[in-house]
Amino acid sequence: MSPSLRRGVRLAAMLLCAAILQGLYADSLQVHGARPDLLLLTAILGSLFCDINGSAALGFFAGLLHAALAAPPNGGFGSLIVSRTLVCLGVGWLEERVFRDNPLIALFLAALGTALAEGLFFLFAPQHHVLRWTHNVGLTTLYNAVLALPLYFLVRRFLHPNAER
Amino acid sequence: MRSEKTPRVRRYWAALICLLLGTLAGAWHNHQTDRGKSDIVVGAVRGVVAPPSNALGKVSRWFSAQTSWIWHGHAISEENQQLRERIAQLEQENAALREAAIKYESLRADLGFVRAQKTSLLAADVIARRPDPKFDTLVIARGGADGVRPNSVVVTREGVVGRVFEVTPGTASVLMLTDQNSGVGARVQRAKSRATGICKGDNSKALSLVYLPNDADIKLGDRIVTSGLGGVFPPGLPIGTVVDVRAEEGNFLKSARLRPFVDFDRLEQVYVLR
Repeated sequence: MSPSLRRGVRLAAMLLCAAILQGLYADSLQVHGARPDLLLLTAILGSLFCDINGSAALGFFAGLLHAALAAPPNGGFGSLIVSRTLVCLGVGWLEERVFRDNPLIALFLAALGTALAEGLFFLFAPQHHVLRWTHNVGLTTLYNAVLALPLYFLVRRFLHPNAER
Repeated sequence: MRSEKTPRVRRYWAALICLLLGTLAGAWHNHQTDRGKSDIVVGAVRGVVAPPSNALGKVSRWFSAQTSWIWHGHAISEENQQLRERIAQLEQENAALREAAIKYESLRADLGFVRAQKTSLLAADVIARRPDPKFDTLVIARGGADGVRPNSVVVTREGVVGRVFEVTPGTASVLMLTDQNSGVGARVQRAKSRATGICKGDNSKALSLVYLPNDADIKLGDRIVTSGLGGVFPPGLPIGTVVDVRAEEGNFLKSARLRPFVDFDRLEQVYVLR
């Protein structure tokens, strides 16, 4: 199996695990109303290890999994996919052009990427209760930032099992 | 001489295809759901995710049940005793209500009303609870193949959970009452007051009962049940209790905050009314 195919299979397995864990446990992990978005977080962190096209594809499949599971009421299916694709594309572009993978940048990108993905989603599919929605998205952004570091090391370990540490 | 710069379109080809596919998938999904049909893309993705989710969920619940005595050992025996007493009391109430229901049905028949439809309950495991933190939705492991349809009502022993809004052959998505897109006709369950309004969610733990007339007789502690208006939810299903009543701007209407009977954060198994 070629290295890029192996990486693709590993990324797909990671997304599938994130989708299952998101559905089963993310709601139980809530702290003061804050719930993590494991699927989006995994996609953003995975994009740090891909090129531009790879990260866009990762964002697309993360969005598709997310949309198929959440099936947003009153539209928003395509908005979820496109917002995730755009954010992961951005992360892949930044990683390729501006910086290499780094734990602190992963933390920063997890927070920024979550806020941006939800902001784009809102732009494409506006919600009724803006304040409540902003509050929930803010809490999810914080939660994702907290989980970013441990998950970053996990993703790096999973994608580069033999990398020098 | 060939330019070393790759054309942008060729450089971002996969990204462009993904964006195009995302837009098409969204348009296709909206087209299918608007026609009340199931989306084959959603069905295929859930076909992959649902079996491992369901299996892991069952293992988790089993493990949680096996180890719960470690955390709740003392409380369980006390709760057990209280539940036994409650069951005895409820059985008596149940017998009385059965009698009343028989009388009610026979009186309705005498007066020429259509006989109330019998409904059956279909148990369903929850395989994803709030898969997107922004929406209060559930995915259950029952779908079109089990007779679940869009707008099927979902309940627990405590009260109403919500309604089905999307169905695939093996799964269904449920819009919980707490979601901001949810609305159900509701009324006060008290003999002297039948005040009617609409129960709405706002993605918080509480519910709002809105569009109550200003002179509506509603008090703290009142039980709120479905009114049956709207045609989706049958009448009399428990929703919650009133914890706050306030006048709306202009004093023409009233609204109330409700504490739902159902704990939406702990749903593991629900029932679909068929």
